Amino acid sequence: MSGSIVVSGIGIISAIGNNIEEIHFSLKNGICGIKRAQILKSKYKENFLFGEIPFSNQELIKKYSLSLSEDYTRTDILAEIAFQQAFQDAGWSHECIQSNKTCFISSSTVGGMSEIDELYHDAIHKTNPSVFIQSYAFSAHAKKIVERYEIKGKTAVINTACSSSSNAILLAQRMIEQGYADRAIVGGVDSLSKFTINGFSSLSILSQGYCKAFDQNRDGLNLGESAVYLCLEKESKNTKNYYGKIISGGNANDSFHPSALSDDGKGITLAITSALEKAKLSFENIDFIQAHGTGTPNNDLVETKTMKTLFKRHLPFYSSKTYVGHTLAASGAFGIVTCLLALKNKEIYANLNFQQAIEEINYPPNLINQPFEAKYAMSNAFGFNGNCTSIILQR
Amino acid sequence: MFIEFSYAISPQKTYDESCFLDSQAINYTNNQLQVIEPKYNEAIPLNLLRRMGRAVRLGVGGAMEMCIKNNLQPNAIIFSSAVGGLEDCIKFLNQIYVYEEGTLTPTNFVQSTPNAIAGSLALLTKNSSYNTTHVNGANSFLDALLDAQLLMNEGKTSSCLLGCVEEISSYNYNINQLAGLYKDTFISSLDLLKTKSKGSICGEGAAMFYLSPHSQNYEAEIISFFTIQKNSSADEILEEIESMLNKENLEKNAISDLILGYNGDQETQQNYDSLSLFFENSNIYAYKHLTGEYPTSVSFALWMGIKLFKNKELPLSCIKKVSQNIREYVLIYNHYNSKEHSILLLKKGTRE
Amino acid sequence: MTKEELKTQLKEQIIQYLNLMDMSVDKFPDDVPFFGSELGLDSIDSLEMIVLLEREYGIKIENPQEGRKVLIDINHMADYILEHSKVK
Repeated sequence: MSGSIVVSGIGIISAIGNNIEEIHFSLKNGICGIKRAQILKSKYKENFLFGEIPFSNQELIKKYSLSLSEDYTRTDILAEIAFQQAFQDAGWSHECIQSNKTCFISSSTVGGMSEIDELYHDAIHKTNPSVFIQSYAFSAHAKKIVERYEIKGKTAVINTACSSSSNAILLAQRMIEQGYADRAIVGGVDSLSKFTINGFSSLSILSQGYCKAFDQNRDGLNLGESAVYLCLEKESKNTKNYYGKIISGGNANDSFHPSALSDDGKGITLAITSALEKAKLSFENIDFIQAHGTGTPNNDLVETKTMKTLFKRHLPFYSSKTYVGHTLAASGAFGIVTCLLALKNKEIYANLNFQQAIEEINYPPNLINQPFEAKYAMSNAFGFNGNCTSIILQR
Repeated sequence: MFIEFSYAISPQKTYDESCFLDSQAINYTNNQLQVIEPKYNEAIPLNLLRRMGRAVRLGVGGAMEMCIKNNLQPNAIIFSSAVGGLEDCIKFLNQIYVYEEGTLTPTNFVQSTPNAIAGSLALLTKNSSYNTTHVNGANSFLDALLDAQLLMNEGKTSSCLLGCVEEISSYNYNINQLAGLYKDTFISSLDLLKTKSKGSICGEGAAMFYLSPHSQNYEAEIISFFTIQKNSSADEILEEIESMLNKENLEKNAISDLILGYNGDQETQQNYDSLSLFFENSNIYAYKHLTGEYPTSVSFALWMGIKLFKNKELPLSCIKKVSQNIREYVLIYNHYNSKEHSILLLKKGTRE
Repeated sequence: MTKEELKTQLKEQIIQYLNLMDMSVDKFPDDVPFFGSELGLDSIDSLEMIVLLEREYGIKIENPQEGRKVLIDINHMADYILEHSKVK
């Protein structure tokens, strides 16, 4: 097992900041980005809170001086912003991005459905296609990046629902480890869409207030939006930036229910043990966990129960979703970025909006932003249809 | 990597293998070729089937038909689809607009997630192993194959179910029609390859493969494969193919059979024509008059390549040129919309 | 509409909403629990039935706890509809 894949650049945009420095500031100061939505067009603006990036598409294009064709959806715009930041942060040149040893692996669950009114129009009308006619696919944002930056290395786009970008990172790590690539730009993007808002609402798992992850009185999740890309490379003297290492990851299926976790947390257990096994680490080595922690009754109960059973001690953990909401395909990578920041800056972040531990488990999350020296962190992400992924990071 | 078993559901009666070869090919006249499904009698319990959207049913049904018949228990499940369960997606979209974001039924939402296919299979067969879904447009299928290759290289996976599903619905037909992918007039699907107009016809399909890193008893061996993601000329494609053949120490004459993605669109056939000329001693086949065009149709071409080794016969309408009757290596080349190119090289298996 | 007529109609609607392929009105029991029984229904079905109540009978169930009191079996569901329906 090679432990030499480092994260050398991060591009990130979300409700708590428009770049890695701003995100770090918000995490450190416990600033929550979940609010009444301003940009979103949905009846549910009045009912629910969202982790919205508070700029319209036009404002984003202006703010970042982007010159984009008119067929860029909100998802495409967010992906472009985070992608640019990532390779600039790593100090990669265009030649480096275009090398056939640089792979690009992305993920999205909403894709072009951010422009849902146009999609609906184009699906049922036989004339006057909208400008987004070629932009609805899950892969549309990635195809635009591949074309724009003339990427020649291997590409892939993953959609395993809410664990998508964690699986993308796992795939990139394996590709580099086996020599299919020397570098990777990897992550995920999802923007707020009436589609997912109505979907999660139909499943009755949107919170009436703030996502109270791991709280006895949690009542569901907040949806958010984000784009996150990481530059991964083999460790070398040329590495400009150094956030930490991606050590290993495990994926398993809970094989229980389309939208709920099994009581015994089989999928979570298998994902975690497989990640540890590949890293040749044991439960004692993990210093803290960025938990999936959506704030739904089912997820948080099963997740804490499984952590308590597996780690046999009170491990500090938090859910980054209490800051930005559930950013779906981007959420796994977002959680991993918070782990890297925590490891690098020797601190740990608080799980926000928490009051009372789940009675039957009594396993509360970390509540204070504080100095914390750690070597290994774990970040978990679980998606619909039983998909469970666990990634291990090293300082 | 070795393909031990394969299975396809397509607009022809491929699910019952004998019919595909013996009976007359089925002709479609509405430019939309929908698959002919088996009954899934034993494959899917009714209690799960009742909720499945079409894409999920095709994927789960196809995989289960293959796995039950051959008593297979894969220790990885990897799926691929460019669009996933689009029909369910649009059904949910319709609900959003008709009920003005009111109380909606969640089933369409859950089923529209592309990983509902691989996930439902895991649920149905209590399979907890590696489970993922690739959605990189027309490259999804070969991306998924690469994922399987990585798993095999890691040495812990002894078998992998690789699946590919693409469904058409009136909605994505409409979207692709607006985007200019299909012909303006209705044609007979079996005449597709003779048409001289722009655009193709719409198809769909599901293909399943059971892969293994070591095998004595297999249908075909995957020697090499890759994708190219940009507008590429025939020369560029040929250069890549020659470099692949060099790496494998193969002469171009070693390619006994060439399967090409001819789709009846006169504006994008040039690469296929150039490859046909280059591989002058190979047999040449086409398939989209049977399946229609869809992003991941290269999965059907792979199934067909295996058929070449196994049964040595294909419907006559697939054969564009016969040069020889030794079958050793099959090369597959397909592109979607001229931008996404797939190349796959197969070697004959031990089992006929 | 009598309770018996309502129950028949309700069974037809449940079969349609949940796409219960091997079920028929004659076979649908009045008193077998929807959940945790041989009917094999789960949490997603309960959400589908909440939609049914709203679309067919104009009854809006605001939270899942309320739903659990109503969605017990055909008898309970029919009683609740008779009591609350706005669509007569």
